[in-house]
Amino acid sequence: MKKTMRSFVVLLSFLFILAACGSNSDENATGNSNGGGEDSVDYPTQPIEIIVPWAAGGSSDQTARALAEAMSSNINQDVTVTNREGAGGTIATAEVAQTQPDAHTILLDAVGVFTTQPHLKNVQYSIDDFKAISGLTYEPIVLAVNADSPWDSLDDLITEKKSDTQISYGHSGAGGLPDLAQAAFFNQAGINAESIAYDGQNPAVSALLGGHVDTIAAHPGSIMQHVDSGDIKILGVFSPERFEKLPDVPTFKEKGYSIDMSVWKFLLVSQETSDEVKNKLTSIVNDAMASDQFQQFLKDANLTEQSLSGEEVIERLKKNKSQHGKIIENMGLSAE
Amino acid sequence: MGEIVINSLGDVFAVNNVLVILISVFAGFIFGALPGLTATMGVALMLPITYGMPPTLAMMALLGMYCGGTYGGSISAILIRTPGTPASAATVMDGYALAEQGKASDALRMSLFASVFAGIFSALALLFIAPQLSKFALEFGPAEFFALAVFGLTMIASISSDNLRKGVVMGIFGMFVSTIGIDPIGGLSRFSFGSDELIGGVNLIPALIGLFAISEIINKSQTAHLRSNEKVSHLEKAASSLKNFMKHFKTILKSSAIGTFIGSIPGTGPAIASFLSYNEAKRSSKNKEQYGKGSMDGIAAAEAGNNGVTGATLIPLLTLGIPGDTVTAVMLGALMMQGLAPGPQLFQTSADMMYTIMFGLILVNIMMLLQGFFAVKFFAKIKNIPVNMLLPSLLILCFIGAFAVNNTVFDAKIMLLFGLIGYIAPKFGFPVTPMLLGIVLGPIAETSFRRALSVSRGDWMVFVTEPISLVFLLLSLISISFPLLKSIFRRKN
Repeated sequence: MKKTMRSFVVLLSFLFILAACGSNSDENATGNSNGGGEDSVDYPTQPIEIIVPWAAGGSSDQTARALAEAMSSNINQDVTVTNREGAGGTIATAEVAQTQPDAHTILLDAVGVFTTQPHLKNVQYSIDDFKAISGLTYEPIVLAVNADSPWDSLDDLITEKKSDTQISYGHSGAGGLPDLAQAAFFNQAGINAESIAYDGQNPAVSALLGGHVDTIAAHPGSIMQHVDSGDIKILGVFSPERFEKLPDVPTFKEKGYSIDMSVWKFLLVSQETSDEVKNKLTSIVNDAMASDQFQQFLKDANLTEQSLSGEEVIERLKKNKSQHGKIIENMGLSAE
Repeated sequence: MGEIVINSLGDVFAVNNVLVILISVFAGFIFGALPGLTATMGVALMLPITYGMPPTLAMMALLGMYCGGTYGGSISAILIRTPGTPASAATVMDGYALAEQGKASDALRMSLFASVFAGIFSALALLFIAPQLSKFALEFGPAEFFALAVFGLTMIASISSDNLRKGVVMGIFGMFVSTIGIDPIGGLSRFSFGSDELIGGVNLIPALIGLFAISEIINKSQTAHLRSNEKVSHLEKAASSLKNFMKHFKTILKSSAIGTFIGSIPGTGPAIASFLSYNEAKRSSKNKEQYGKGSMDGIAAAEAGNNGVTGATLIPLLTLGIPGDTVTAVMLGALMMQGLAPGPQLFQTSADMMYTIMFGLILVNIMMLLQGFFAVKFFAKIKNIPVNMLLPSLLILCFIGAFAVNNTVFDAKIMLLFGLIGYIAPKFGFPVTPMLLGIVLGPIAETSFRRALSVSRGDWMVFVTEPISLVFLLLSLISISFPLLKSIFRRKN
């Protein structure tokens, strides 16, 4: 089997060459800049692994990789990213919860994994299995319609209550936040609407562009280009604040619907992690997030930084969990 | 405009581009050829490496890996009856039969020519008719997807010619397997028996490796201790390739068009394209009996079909910013990291980049032809490796491949289970390819069917009132009933 071996070696060396082509002049590592009392903690002693419960190429993966790059230039260890997708992020999360690895394994997770998934099915983890390091990013959810749609504003859509038209709304998957946000709105507005689940946000966007559904809820980052090209109109924002790039689009709260839904992501470690190590890691992550490199990434990827401390993350997750649970129960999706 | 095109052409031929394409195409061959390592995985692994590269270079690296990997899948399909990627499953039947007849080099070369031709065909489609194709692709709503999936499933008839009933059973079994896991519409879990891992569903790659590779390894190992007197290497000298190519030109052209068409619809993929092309080639062929027993035409069709997808999947990505499959999702990530957001605006804001990608795709295919031409000779020698060395190494690769899908041992167990199915079922005359087809098409058929009925509020007429859907359903009807009618007529005469 010399041949396969040889090709493996060849392949590996090729990849190294490619990697060498790839690395820019980012190697001006600043050394250990985190002074202070934390230096007494012996961490990290080995490469750090960030586990992403979603596929490579998605926004979570990109965020993790950008963060890994920023982190590794501040510490003397490598930071790698492992994708471990499946079942809406619950598989990787359950795995970390059950194995309780040391703080060299960090889990990147999104709000839904802790706030909606436990209501939808039996999961093998809870917030108590983890300690939170910090908040990471924040993406609002907006309600969008095709440019050819008769509704130009949220008010137009709300008047549909009087008519008996049935609206079909698309979203990235049953029980996901874009599904819940629309379900809650149509329910509160008394509009007759049918949920159409797609396999991720992109198929939902193409269904809207092709006119196969009436509305979708999605993250503005990836649909802004269709707004700019005039193919999609955004009617409302499911967050308490307006979206900075669309200052004229009202929030649902302004229109009297108390819906607050956005996707935010955060970093977790095993709950067995000692506070000293956790603090050290937090400062490493905070330094990385403050770096120009990471800030530039956030700008390019249309993401907003979510600066929350570990305690705030846990607190907000618990609050969101009960909010989302109520909506899921109303929708009849609850597993309990 | 003209200036941009000329500048982009100059950009493409920059030395480091050519070098990166050389390397990535070769890496693609290897990723595609190794069972379990797919083009998709190769592209995903390549992604972090490209983050530091300038945008053009990064895209060339990813495209090289993608095209090389899509072709590479046929190498192992032909030589060791193990499709390296799901897209090469249609190549297995004829490719391996040809290899057994000692025509491995011929088969590999045909696959290479068909792949390259189709790749260039679809790159040209991307260059010239991308906006029109993407507009048409958007017309594909739930009803159309369902009809397309049904049409795809009728292929079970043509790939299980010996025993239709058993083929249908396996197809349905495959569709059943695809229902395991989270219900894609309702979000509740089905047939998961409380297991976290099963909630994630049965992954296609371990199932594919099991059905084809593991079963073949078991089969082969039963006779591995026998010293065969016949020479292991009976590689015939390859016939004149160009003449061969011209003979199948019509099939290749047609399959390239099918591949390009399928590829431009987000959510389909190369596996479907290669099966559809294979089916069409067989339908229109004069020697249908040859198919499945070593037909050059079959290889040409299947491989042109799956490589026709390569350029076309970039159409929805570049024109709409919508990735049609995992590979393009990774490319979207790469472009985003470069600060380029694909979509309707990109042609205005970075037209030069767009043209560089398109010309790059053509260059990738040309390089693939050159590299492949030499690599074929080298790869064909795998046939000379004694089985007692080949099998254990293959087995290791299978485990690595299955594990690598999600970094979990569970997938390796799934692989073994499907290996058992793939070994036992054919012993009773149940073919495994229809099962794979069921696993690939089942989810598309199911979700689009339910979506279509939700959108139409339960009105079944939606499937026949949409013109595209109607056409595909009629085609399915014809493709099922035609062989039946024909046999009835024959009996009457």
